[in-house]
Amino acid sequence: MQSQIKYIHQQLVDKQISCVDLVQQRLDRLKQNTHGSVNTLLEADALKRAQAVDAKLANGESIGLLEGIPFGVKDVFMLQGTHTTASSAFLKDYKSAYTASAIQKLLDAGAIPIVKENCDSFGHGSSNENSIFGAVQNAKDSELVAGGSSGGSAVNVAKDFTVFSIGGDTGGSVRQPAGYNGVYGLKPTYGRISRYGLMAYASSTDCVGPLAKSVEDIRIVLNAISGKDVKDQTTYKSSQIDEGALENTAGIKTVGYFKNLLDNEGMDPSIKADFMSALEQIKAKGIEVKALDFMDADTLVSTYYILAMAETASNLSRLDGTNYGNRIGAENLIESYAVTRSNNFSEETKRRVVGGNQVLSQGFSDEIYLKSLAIRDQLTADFERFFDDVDILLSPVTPGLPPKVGDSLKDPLAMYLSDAFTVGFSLGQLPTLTVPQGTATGIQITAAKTDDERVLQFAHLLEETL
Amino acid sequence: MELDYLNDLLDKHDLELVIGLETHVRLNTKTKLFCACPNEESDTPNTNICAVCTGQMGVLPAINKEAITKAIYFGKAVESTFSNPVISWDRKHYEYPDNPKNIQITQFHNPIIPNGEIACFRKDGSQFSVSLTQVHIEEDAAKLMHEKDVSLVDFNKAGVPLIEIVTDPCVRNIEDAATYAQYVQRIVQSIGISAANLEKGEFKSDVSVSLRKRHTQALNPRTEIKNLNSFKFMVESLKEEVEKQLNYYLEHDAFRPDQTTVLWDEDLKQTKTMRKKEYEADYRFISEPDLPFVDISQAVDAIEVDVATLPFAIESILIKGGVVPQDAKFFTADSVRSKTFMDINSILNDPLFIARTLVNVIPADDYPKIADTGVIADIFAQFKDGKVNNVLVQKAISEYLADANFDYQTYFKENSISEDKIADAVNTVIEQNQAIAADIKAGNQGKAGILVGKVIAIIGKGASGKVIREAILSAVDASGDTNNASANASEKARAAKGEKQSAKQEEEKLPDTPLIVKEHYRTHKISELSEQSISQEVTLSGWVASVRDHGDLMFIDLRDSSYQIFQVRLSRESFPNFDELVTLKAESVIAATGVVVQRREDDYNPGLPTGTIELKTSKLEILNLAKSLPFEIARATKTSENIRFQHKYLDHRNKEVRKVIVDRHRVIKLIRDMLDEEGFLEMETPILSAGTDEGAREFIVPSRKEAGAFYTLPQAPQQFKQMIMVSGYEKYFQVARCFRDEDSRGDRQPEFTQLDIEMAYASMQDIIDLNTKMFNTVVRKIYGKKWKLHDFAVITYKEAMDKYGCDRPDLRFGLQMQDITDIVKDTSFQVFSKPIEQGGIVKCIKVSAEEQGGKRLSKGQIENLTALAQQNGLGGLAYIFVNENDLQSPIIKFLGEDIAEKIIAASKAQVGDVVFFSAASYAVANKALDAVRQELGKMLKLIDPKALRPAWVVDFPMFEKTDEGRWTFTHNPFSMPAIADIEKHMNGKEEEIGSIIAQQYDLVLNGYEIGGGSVRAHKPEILEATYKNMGYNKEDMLKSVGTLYKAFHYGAPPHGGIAWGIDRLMMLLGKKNSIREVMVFPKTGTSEDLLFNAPSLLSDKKVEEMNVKIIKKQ
Repeated sequence: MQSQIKYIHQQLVDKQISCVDLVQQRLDRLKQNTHGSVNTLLEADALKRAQAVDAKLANGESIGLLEGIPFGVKDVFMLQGTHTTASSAFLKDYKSAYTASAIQKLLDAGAIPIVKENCDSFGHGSSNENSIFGAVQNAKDSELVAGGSSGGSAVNVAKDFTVFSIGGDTGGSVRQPAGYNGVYGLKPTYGRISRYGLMAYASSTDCVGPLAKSVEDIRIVLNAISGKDVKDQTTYKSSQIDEGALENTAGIKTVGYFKNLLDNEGMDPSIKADFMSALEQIKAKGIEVKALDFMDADTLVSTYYILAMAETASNLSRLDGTNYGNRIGAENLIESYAVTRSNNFSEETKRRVVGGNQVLSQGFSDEIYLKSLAIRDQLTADFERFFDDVDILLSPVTPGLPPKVGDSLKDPLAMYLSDAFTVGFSLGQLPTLTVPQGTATGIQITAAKTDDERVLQFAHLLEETL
Repeated sequence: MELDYLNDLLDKHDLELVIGLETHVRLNTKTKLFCACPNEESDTPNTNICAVCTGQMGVLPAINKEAITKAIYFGKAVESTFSNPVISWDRKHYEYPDNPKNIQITQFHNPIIPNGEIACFRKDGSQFSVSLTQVHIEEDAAKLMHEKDVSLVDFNKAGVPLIEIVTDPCVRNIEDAATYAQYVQRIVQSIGISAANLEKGEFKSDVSVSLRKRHTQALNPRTEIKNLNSFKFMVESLKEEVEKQLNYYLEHDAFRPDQTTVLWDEDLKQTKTMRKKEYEADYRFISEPDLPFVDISQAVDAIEVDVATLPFAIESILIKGGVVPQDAKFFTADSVRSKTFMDINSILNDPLFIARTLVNVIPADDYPKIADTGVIADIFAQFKDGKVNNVLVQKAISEYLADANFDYQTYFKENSISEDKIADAVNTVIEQNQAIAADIKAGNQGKAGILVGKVIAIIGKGASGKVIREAILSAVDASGDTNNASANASEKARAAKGEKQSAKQEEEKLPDTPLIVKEHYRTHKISELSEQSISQEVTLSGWVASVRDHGDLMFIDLRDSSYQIFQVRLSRESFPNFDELVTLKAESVIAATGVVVQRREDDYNPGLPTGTIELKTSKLEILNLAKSLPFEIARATKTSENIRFQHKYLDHRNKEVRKVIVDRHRVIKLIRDMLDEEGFLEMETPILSAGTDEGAREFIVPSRKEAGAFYTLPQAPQQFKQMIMVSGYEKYFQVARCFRDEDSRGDRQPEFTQLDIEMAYASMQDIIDLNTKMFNTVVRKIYGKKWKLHDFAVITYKEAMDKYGCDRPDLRFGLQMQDITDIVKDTSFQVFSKPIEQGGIVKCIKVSAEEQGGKRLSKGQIENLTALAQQNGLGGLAYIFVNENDLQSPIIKFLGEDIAEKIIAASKAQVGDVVFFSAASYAVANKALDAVRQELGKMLKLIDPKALRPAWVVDFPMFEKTDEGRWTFTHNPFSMPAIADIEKHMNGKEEEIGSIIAQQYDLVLNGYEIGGGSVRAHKPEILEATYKNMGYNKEDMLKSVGTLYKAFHYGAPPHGGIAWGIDRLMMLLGKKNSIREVMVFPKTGTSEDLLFNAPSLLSDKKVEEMNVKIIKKQ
C-alpha cells in the first residue's frame, strides 16, 4: 500500500483538506467507538494542534512530513495531562505527569495524538479482552478478538481511525494484533526507541513499536522516534533509514525458518500451508531458504513468561495506592496495600504478579528465575549462530487464527502458547516486523540485532512478491 | 551497667562480642543517583523532586556518574582491590511508603567495592582494624512525617545516592564499633565525598551484635540496632543490648535464641524493639533491567587517593610524636585541620610541638582562614627556637587570620626582646636573689619558676618563659665554680643512695611546696557560682579532679565539698611554673583565684551546672599535694574493698560513696526532728554496762580496777530504756550504737546503729501508727520519686509463714505458698508419705503462665531451683506442668494421677501454669520454699526494683521450742502477751505455752526485717511468769533481769517500744548491697578495721594492767 503519511501530507500541503477537518473526521470516526478501541479521545488538544498547523499553512510556511498527521497512542504511554490508564481500574483516574520520550519526538515533529487506545491492562494479554474498557473487536470480523495487547492500536490503523499508532511490544503485543487485523507492526531492536514514559511491563523486552498500513509509514515513524535518550540508558545511537535504502535488497540472499515450530501440534494447518507456499514464492525470487531447528515452543513460552512475570511483578510493585492510583483505605498500611492491589488489579495481572513474585522468592529464584536467564543467554547465542547462516528469519506471527471474543479468556495457558512465535524474538531483542501477507495472520520478518533496516528492506521486497 | 563492668563480666565468663556494622553514607553529588534533581537539603518538602524520584509510572533510572566516581574514591581510601571491574545493579523489593517504587535500586551481586580495610586508633593509642565485606551504592528513601491522623511523604531525599559500608562481623568491643564508625566519617569527609553530618541523617549505621564463647566461630542469633546517627548512642544502645544478651546467657546458660531488631528512635533517643524472631526478609532480588552494566576499570585506574593524608596515617604521625590520641583525633576530625597540621609538620617535623601550639593559637573553627600554612609554619619555627614568645605568636596569628597581608616579620622585630636584654635581667635577678639561686644550683630546679616571674616583671611579657628559664639555669650553673663540683658529687652520691632506697621501698616522694596557711581560703563554694558570677573575682579551694594539658593552656577540674566540678583555666604566660603545674596529681588541694568568665561556646559542658563558665586564673596556690592515688576516685566503687577500706578517706571522695553518707545524715536528722516534735527526749545510755546471759555474744571490757571483772558493750539499750520509762520520762529515743561479738557472717558488723524508741502509756497500735508515719515521711521527704512507696500491709506471723514461709516476706511479688498436706497425705509415695508421718507438711507454690512470662520455665531453670531447694534441706522439688490435655510431671506415676489432679485443683492452676511442691518438716519446708520463692521472683523478674513494700508482721507467738525441746522467747523476755492470752501465760500449762501470742511487731521491708519491738510486760509477775514458762526458777530470773524486776515494783508505767536497724534501712533505701556501704568507717566482713588496723595487739604491759592473760593460739 502507498504511504498514508505522504498522501495526507500532500493533501495538507495542497490544501485539499484542512488539518482541522482531517483531525475532526478521524475524531468523529473514533467517537463512535465501533470496535471498542478508544479509551480517551484527545479532542480539544488535537483540534488546537490542528489549528496551529492550518495557521502555519495559511501563512505559507512549510510543514514537516509528520506535521498535522493524526495518530493514536496505546494507553500505556505518558502524554502529559492526559488520562493514562493502562486500561486498569488502578489508574483509571491517573493523569500523566510528563510525556514519554517517543511521543514527545512525534509531538516535536508536529504529529497530532488524537486518541489513547484500548489495550490489555498493563499489556497483560494476547486478545485485548483484559481491559476495564471492554474487549476490542477485530477490524475484519467483530466477533473475533483484535489481539493484544495493542489491540486498539491495530484496529484503529486497520479501520483508518488513525493514520498510524504507537503500540508497545513486550512479547508480541504489536506484531500479533497487527497480524490479526492485517496491518504492519514493528518491534524494533530493543533499545532503538526510548522506553522512557512507556509503562513498564517486562523491562528487558519492552519495545515501543509503530503500527501502520505501509512499510514506508513504518519507516517514517521509526525514523522519527528512534535514537539514544539520556533518560533511558538501554537505548543506543542508530542512524536514519533512508527511503532509497528499502529498494536495496541485494544483501538478502538467505532466509531461514524454524521447521520444528511449524511441526508443533498446535499449528493451524492453513497457516502452515500458507507460510510454506510463501517460502516457495520467495525461493522463486532466487533467495535460498534454510530450515532451522530452534527451541521448542514450550521452552520458549515458559522462559518468556517466567522472565516477563518476574519483571512485571517487580515493575508493578510500585502500585500500592499510597503515592498515586486508586487507593482503598483499610485499618492499617499492610491491609490497605492488600485490599488496594486485590481490588484494582485484573485477574490476569494478579496471575502474573503472583507468578512473578513466586519465581523471585527465596528458594525459587535460583531454580526458576536464574535458570530462565540462562536459557535466555543460550537463546541469544542461538540467534547469533542463525544469523551467521541466514540474512533473514521468517516465521508465522501466530500458530492459529484469531479466536472469538470470550474464548481465549477461558484458557490462559492456551493464550500463553499462542505467543510461541513472537516471544523468542522479544527475548532475543531482535528487530521483527509483522507484514499483513503470506498467512491469514501475516508473516514476521526478523533480522539480526540493530539491523532494523534489513527487516524493512525485506518487507519492501515481500510487498512486491506476495 | 558501666561499660568497664560489662566488659569485665564478659571476660569473666569467657565471652566475646561479635559486632558488625552497616553504615550508610550520603554522597555529596550534585544530583540524585538516578535523576537530575538536585541533591540538596530543602526546608520545603517535595521541592527537589521529579517523576523519576517519586516513582511515577513509566520512568527509568539513569545512573549518576559522579556517584560512581565518589564511591571509587572511598574504595581507594580503604584500599579495595576492585575485583569487580563490571558493576551491576539489583532491585531490592520492600513495601513501605518511604520507598516510592517499592523497589530500592542497590548492588547485590556485583558491588562496586568488594573488600577493604580500615585501620583505627583507640582512645588509649592501641590499634585495631576492621575489614569490609563490601561497599555498594544505593538510593536513599524518602522521609516520612507522621502527623496525628495522617503520614506525609517528603521525597526530597528520595533517590539521593548512598554508599553502604558493610563490615565483617569482626569488631569485638563496643567502643571499637563507635571508633570505627568515626573513622568512616572522617575518611569520607577527608576525601570530600560526603559531609557525613550526623544530625542531617547523612551518616547512619545499623549495628548487629551477638555473643559467643571465646575461641569459637559460632555466629549466634544477633540483635540488630537500626538507624544509629550518633556515636555516643551507638555505644549506649550496644551496651544495653549486650547487657540483655549477657543476662539471658547468665540466666539460661545458653545464648539467646531470638534474632531481634531494635530501632534507634532519633527523636526519643532510645531503642525500641521492632520485632523478635525475625526471619530474613525476602527482598526478591532481581537484576535491574533498566540499567546497563558499567565497566569501571578505567575510572578505577584514573582515580588516586593518597592514603597518607587520611586520618589514620595522620594520627599515626601525631601519636608517635607524643600527642595523646584524643588530641590527635582533634586534627583528623576536620580535613582542613589535618591538612594544616600536615603542611606545617612537613617543614618542622615536630608533631607534639605543632599540635600543642596549633591548639593554643588557632581556634578550632578558624583553620579555613589560614591563607598560607607556610606562614604559620614560619611563625611556629621562630617560636620553637625561642626567638619569639607565645604572646607574640598568639597575637601575630590572630592578626594574620584576620588579614592575610599582616606583616608578622616586622611585628616580631619590633616587639621581641633581645637576648642581651634577657641576659641582663637574668643576671640582675640572680644577684638580687642569691639564696634562691643557690637552691636552684643545689638541684631544686623547681625554684627557677620564682626567678622567671621576677625576670618577666622586669622585661615584660615579650619574652618566652622557657627561654628565660633556660637562661636562669645556665646562668646559675655558670656562676658556680669549685663548690659546684663537690655539690654535684655529693648530689650524685645522694642520688645513688636514693636509688637504692627506692628500689627497696618505692616510696613516692612529693616535691616541696611552700607552706600556705591562711585566714581565708575561699570566697565561694562552687555551688554558689553561676553565669551571674561572670566577671567577679573569686577564690575557690578544693581538690584537683583532673588536669588537662593543652600546651600553653591547662585546665583543672576543681571539686569542692559541694561536689561540683568547676573548670579552672591557666595559661603559660601568667604562670612561670606552668610546667610544674601540669604534673599536678589528682586530689591535690589547691586554691585558685581569678575572674569567672564565659566559656567559648564549643567548650560548653552541659553535664555541669557551671558548664558554661570557667575561672580565668591569675593565682594558684598549692595547699597540699596528693601522691599517686591507690585507685581512681571515679572508679572507687569498682575497686577492691580492702584497698578502699585502707584508704577510706579517699573512698569518701567518690560521689556515690559520699551520697549515701549525706543521705544517712538527712534521714537521721529528719527522724530526730520528727521525734522531737512528738515530744520525745533523746538520751544517751552507757556503752560500758553489765552483761546479760541471753542473746548474742557480747564484747567485754576488762576492768583494770577490779581484777577479773568486766564491763560489756550493749547489744541494745533494752533494759536502760525500760528503766527510763520507769524513771517517768514517758517518751525516749536514741540513735544508739550497739555491739555484737558474732562470728563474721555475710553482712554483719560488730557495731551498728539502732534507732531506739520507747514510750509509756502506748498501745501496740499507737507505736505502729507513729512508726508507720515516720517511715513514710523518711521515704517521701528524702527519696521522693526514687521509690514507689506502697501502703503498709499488716499480716500475722501465721499468715506470713503459711504464704511466704518466712516472717519477713518480700511482698513485691506473689507466688504465695499453699499447704497441701491433706491432699497428699494418702499417697503411698514414700518421698511424701514419710515426712508427713513424721509430722511434716507439704507445701506448694504455683507459678502461673503469666508469671513465667508467657513461656515455660526451662529445664535448666527448674534444675537450678531444685539445687537451691536441696541446699536448703529438701530432698528435692517436685513439679507438675499443666498442659492443654494432660498434666506433666516426672513423678506423676509415683504420686498417682488422682492426687496430681487434686493438687492442681487445690492450687487452681490453669493451662500453662506450673506447681512446685515438696514435703519436709515445718521449718525445713518453709525455709527451703522461701528460698525457692525468692529465686523465682528474681529469675522471672517479678520484682519491681523501684517498689517499696513495707509491712507490719504481728501476732508472733510468745515462745518457741529450742532444738533441745525447751521453750524460749521468740524476741526477748520483756514482751507482753496478747490481752486474750494473759491468762494462759500466767497459768503456764505446757500444752498452751506454744499458743500464747505476744504483743510483738516487726517492721518488714522488701524481704528484710528493719525493725521490731513489743509492748512490754511492765508488771513484775508477768515477767516472772515468762521466765517460769521457759523453765527458769525465780533465782535464775533475778540473775538475768533482777534489776528491772525490782524496778517494776515501784510503779512502772505500761510501756512499749521499737528499734530500727538504721544501717539496713539505709542499705535498702540507698540500693546498696551491703551495710558496709552505708557506714562511714565500716569494718570488713571479718570485723577488721583496715584503716587503723583494729583489732590489734597491745603491749604486754597494757594487757597485764588490765589483769588479763593472753592465751596464745598455736
